[in-house]
Amino acid sequence: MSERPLLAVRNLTVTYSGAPVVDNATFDIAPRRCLGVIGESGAGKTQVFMALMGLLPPQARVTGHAHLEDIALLEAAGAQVRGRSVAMIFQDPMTSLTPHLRVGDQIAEPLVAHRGMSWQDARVRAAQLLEQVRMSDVPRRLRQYPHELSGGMRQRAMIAMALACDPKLLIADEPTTALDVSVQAQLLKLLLELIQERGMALALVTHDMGVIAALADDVLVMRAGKVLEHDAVQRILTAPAHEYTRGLLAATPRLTALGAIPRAVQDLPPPLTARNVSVRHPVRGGWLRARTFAAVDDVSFDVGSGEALGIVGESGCGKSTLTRALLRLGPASRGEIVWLGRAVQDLGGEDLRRLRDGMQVVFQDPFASLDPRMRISDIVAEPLRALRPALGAAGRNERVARMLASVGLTPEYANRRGRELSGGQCQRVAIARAMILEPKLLVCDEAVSALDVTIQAQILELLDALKREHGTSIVFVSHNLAVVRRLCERVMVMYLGRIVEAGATGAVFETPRHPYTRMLLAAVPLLDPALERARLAALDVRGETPSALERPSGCQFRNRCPAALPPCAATSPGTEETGNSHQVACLRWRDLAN
Amino acid sequence: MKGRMRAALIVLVLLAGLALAAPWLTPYPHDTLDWQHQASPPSIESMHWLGTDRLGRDLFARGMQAMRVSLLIGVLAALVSVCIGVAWGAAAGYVGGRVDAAMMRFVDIVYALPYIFIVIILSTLFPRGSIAALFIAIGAVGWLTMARIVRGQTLSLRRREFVDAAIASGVRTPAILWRHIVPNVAVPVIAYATLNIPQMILFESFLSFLGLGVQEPFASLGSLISEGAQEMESSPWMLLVPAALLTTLLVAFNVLGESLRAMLESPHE
Amino acid sequence: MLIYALRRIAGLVPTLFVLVTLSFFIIRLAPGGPFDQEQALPPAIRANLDAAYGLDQPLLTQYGRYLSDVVRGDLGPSFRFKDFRVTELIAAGLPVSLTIGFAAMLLALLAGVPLGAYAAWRADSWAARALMNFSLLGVVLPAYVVGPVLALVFGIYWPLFRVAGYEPGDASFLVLPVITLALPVIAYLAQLTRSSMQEVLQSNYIRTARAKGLSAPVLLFRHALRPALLPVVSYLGPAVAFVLTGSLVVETVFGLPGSGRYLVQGALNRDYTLVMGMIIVYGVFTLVCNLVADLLYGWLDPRVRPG
Repeated sequence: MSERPLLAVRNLTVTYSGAPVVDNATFDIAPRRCLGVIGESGAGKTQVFMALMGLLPPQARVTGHAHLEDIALLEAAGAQVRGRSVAMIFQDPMTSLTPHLRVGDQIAEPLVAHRGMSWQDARVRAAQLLEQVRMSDVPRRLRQYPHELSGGMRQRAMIAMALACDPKLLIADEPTTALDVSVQAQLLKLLLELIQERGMALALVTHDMGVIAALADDVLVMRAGKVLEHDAVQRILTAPAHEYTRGLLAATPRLTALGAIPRAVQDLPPPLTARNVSVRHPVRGGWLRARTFAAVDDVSFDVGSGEALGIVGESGCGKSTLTRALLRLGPASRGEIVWLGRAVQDLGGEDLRRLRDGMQVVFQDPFASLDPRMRISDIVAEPLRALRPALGAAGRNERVARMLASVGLTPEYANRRGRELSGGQCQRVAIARAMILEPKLLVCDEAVSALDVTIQAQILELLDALKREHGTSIVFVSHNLAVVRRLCERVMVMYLGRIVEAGATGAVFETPRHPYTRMLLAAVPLLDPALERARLAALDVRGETPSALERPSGCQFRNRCPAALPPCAATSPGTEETGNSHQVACLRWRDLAN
Repeated sequence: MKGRMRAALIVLVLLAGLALAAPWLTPYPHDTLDWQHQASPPSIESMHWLGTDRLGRDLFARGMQAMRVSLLIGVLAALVSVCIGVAWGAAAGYVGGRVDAAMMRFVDIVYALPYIFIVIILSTLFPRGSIAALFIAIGAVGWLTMARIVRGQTLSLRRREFVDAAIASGVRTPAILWRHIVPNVAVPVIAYATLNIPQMILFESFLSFLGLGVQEPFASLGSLISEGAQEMESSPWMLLVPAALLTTLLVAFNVLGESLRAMLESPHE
Repeated sequence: MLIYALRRIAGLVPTLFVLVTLSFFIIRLAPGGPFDQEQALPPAIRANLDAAYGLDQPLLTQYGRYLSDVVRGDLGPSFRFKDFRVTELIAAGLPVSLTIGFAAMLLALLAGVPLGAYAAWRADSWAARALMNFSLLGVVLPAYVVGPVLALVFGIYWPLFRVAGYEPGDASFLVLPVITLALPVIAYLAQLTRSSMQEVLQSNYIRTARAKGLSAPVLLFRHALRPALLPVVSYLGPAVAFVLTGSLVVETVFGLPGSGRYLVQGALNRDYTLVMGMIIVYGVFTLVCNLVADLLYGWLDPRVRPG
């Protein structure tokens, strides 16, 4: 680097009660470059930048030096540049904006505070900033409150707020993690353009390699508070020096990798069948009219024996509601649900309970899935107590021990409590509990989404083994297409409660027929920086998923669809076969296939 | 924090012990009039450790008797309100939906009215001086906060996935309530129950202060304070003794309860 | 906002109805009437009295008559003070009760909230810790302990204020009662504000405001105060109820001619109409205050408003 670095950090250490969360971090950021900081949870990557911004709690002890050009950030002088030359945006836009102030005022505020502008002028400038972040309907947004905006819009507002005083360095802490994949793609594209337009430097903290590939020029790899590697992005992604980085890359599932392949046609009846399943939710508000909307609308599918079916879609698509309906856990549904040959949609009470040993579930939040007060052995034994009462205590203990071993937990875990385990360990316990009855059906509702990439890879291995060795059928709900590619032979894409495309995973992902599937696939970051920049430049993702209460008429996707034509507004597309059990619900799929 | 809790516990044990042992610690029963020592200040030689009241009754004996009454009523009434409150709140929180809305609406309406009206209404229904009636009247109101807290806890537990996992594992509803919900609400219930006791004592002494609670010849801390307030210019100890006893009792219970509550709010173990 | 307000107001009516109905039936169904206290009356006179007060009518008829009277503002005759109607009795004492109640609430808000906010902002200072210890005491002690003790100290040993009776226009009669009434509310509000403020200061949007480089006063007053006040506003309804209750005690202890005394006397004398009248008046007042608190909450927190 011939230029003087914009940000120079030397030997930065952050400790809490003597325990270091950041250990001797040293790195530079050059002007107009983007530094990607990657690491798993607990790596200390957020703490580094919180320290630079002076946002740590009073019990944190910070040593070392950091300079933004000439200003010493870790001393009193640092307060002068906060919000001006250096700005920060955070992960969760829902809680990061002040709920009782209008969006426009929150963006105008730094201008009034730091540039001495009048509120009137500042609001005008705020409107300009919202235009720059490609916000729709700017005059309306200025006057709205944060809770009236969607996630993507809130994050754009946050960015506008951070850019108000033309910072030289923008720090973004996991800015897209809480957002849908398509919105993430839009925001990454926005950040890329903003860096180029403004000549700004960007420090991007993330756990996602794809995001690194999209934006970073240089990469910092962190683990347990230490900096492991610091190099150009091309080198890191293709030939990393450190073994940990290699492990991270290996564990990251890729969309293009060869994934699960469906088995040949089976003559046995499928273990799980759903026909015309719909779930309606009541709508809040209004005393007289009891309005409902369909969270799940006329969904039909089968899951074969020993096969994994992936259900993908973004927030609001109804996949979680569908899984609860399949499990007969949530509100009543219409349509037919068949577990292992028995129709269960009308069963209740004891009848339903007795059949539960055929169908089990693993949930998303590993900590909330386990009763924090119970011992692990009791948690795993509970299904046996409920549904295999004939088995005595000895029999139960023996099975529990076997189950824990098969999910990779040593016997000493049996006596620990739920709250003492890590996320990955909790999820293993959840799988052990689910599998102890040897069910033929397993539903995984975003079961790996909350886990670090390396742990995620291990759990996916485990699930794969279940398929192969026990012949368990899995319904795997996820928003992560690469993970679905890895595990599932077949896949179903949902949008606003309906299936838009279904088929063998390879076929659907390589030759997608529905514009929404294409959009989802296009939104997945690739791990090659050059390809990634080109992808983002060409990206055409529009809008966000509308609320289920404001469904467009005809084809629900039409107001975001690049291929929509007038007939799409009039008729709702039915499901059509495109060959090889690949189905699509689009009026124009034939034209688009060419 | 632990130190305060221990101190509060010690104080409570001492006071309770004192109250129970009182008949052996003083030669005077609580209702005997001592003509020689009417309205006399505390003294060692007369063995009126805390003085006497206007009629010559020993204040130590009366005070300890009043404390026995207060403790008895406080603990029992708290027990009653805990049982009702937990049952109500857990049922409402677990069942949810319209049943929950109706049950909590009832709580809201009763809660919004000043409790004293309910208690006064109820205490006019029963013959004056019936202690059973008194503590039913008090306990009948004290369950409201407990119901709200338990319902809130149950609701948030109900939404946690381990309850769904239990249902999916085939566990029956009563077993879920007993093995999953109750142990997880037990800790907050204990903390708030401890805080409930001083509330009950307060209600009771308030009623006695107004003349509606414990009747002659029995004393309550509230009635002693009421008498003491009338004589405070000439015999300040008549006010200060029961006031000090009541204050200590209330503060000790509150510190205990608050420490328990603080303990459960911070990540423990 | 308007629709929200109207809907809340409409929600009051059923509650009021339940209140009146409940009081009526409970009191009427209680054993013992207003004339049972005195020596046994000859049956003929007793029958006349019953007829005069309408006590010989079937219950439902009495209820219907009562309802129609209440709506017209007539709360019936007092069974005890036979020359007066309940409305007159209550109206005589209401000004004093309202004055001390209102003054106490005002004092509590002006003292309790800033103290609590300060204790949250400067959490480690000795002032904050002393404040919290003091507030523990304030919350726990009832008015009938604090009142007489204050009267003893400030009325008799250091005669600064008056301790008994009341002369209209002379505020020194009201100082001690108001302080006694306000003390537990000040203590509770301080605790509430402090914990609420602490929670708000930990929130993500305060972190964002700090990241924007905003100064401490702006942070506190523009970003933190409104959300921190929400629990305080929620508490206003119960606080008013508390103050109403406390006013009974304070009036008794300090000998003030307020309307709270009537409730207690009415209960002791089984003066049905008086007790019910008091309950309705206080009940209405409480519900209205709850409503105001609700509306205030809606104004403070835009998320609660529809649309």
